Amino acid sequence: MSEDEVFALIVSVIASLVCWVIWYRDCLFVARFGNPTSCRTRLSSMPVVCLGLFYLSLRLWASHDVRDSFTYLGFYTVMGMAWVGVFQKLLPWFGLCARDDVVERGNSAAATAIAGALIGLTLCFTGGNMGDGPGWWVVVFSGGLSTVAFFAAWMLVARATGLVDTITIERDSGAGVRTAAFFVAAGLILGRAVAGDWVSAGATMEDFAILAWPVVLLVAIVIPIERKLKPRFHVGGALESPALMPAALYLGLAVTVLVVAGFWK
Amino acid sequence: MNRLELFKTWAPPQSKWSRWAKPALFAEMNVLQPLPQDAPVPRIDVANDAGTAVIVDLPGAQSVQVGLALAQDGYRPVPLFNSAYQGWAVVSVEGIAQWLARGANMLSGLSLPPEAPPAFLLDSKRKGGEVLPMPGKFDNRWVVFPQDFPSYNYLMANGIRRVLLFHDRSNAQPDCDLAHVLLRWQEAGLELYESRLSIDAPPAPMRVKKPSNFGTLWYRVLAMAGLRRNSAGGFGDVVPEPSSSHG
Repeated sequence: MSEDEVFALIVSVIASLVCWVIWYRDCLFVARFGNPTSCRTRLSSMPVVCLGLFYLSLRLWASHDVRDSFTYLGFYTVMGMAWVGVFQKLLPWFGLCARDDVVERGNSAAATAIAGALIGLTLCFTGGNMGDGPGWWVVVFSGGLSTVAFFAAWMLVARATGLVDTITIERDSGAGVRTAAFFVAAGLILGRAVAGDWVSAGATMEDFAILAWPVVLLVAIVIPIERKLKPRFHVGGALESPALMPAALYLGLAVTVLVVAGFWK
Repeated sequence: MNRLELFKTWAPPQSKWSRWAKPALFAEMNVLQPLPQDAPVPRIDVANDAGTAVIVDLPGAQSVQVGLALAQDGYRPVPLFNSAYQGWAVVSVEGIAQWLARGANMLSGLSLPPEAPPAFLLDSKRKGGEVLPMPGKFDNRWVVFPQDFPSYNYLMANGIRRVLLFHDRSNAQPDCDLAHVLLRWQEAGLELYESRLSIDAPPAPMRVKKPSNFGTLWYRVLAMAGLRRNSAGGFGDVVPEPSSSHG
């Protein structure tokens, strides 16, 4: 490994440790008295799920010098965990907070939505790892592009639909599932949009503009559906909104985009 | 009665409102001296109205006392005190905790039904003000969020059509953090009323003004800036002493 790779590895190890130690401290030890623990289990398992996704995708689709090297597999996996660890810290600024909503309030809908957000972030960064490239900074550039778009898409949806209130105040499990599906779908589309062999920053941005636009379509579909499904009290009506069909629609759109886009070059 | 039994007395699993009760203060109960069992519980004259939820926003122990009085009128008191406790705390919660312990026997004796309308209990001194959060102090100031209360839909589904705020403020507008809660309900269509406990007058209709950052995604992050979280849940931690070194 070169000097800059060692530096990036050290930074990634430190960021991973700090972020995920805090995550597990909150999940396992904070506010245990009088609070339900079922939702914490879901959160506790998420770093392992993200780790597995990173490792699997690197083994299958990363540059051949990465997937054949234990050292580089470890390097990019740790970098990915640091990436998700750091960016999940931004989720409270976007309305979802693991500690407040899940650990302290036992909100199952928020646990599901946050789990989806972590997978979405994982997919965003995973895309940057796919294909051949000259070094780790290329992965960071590509991952940064998809992650910024990921948060921008969520910002649009959250502002236009009030989903944050539906999840954190209404505690609507259906909304939690749909939001998780949205996050995963956005992660799939945006991750695919930054996948491929590196040519230049300009070419990456050009490819991104061509391949990432379906996320705008996703947002355009999600907004009216979520507005329609927003819980509204009426006598005899259920407070829980449907989850499976809309979630399947969001994920179906993302899978269609992946199929149409095909493998990267 | 141990502290978990005490918490479950105030937040029985069968009550519709228990999931909003805050356990933070109960987690500290073993360090408190309970009041003698013959400490008097006050009475207030409130008609039991199954369609009205009450928010009691009064200082310290008075909030619990009024909650117990409301319990005798058929309301389910729901303690939302989200603060940990130490002897040198910025917000004194010892009186609250003592009255929570004192009221447990009375509350379990009342056998309130699961559908009893809620009376949410807050400490109007929760943001501190009397003691500065100086280094070495236990800073347990706290705030409430809309996430700490049931939604409009949940209230309506459980027969609640009105909310009555008991307070001790000189003006009718609630504290900024509570305004974020009440304005959501007001915009959704609940009727809001306020009553100053010191004034012998019927509850008056209330219109909540829009607080800053209302409805923004980042409101909670900004509202919690400067507050200290507690590892047992809720708020409260020691303000660290500044480093004596100057590099």
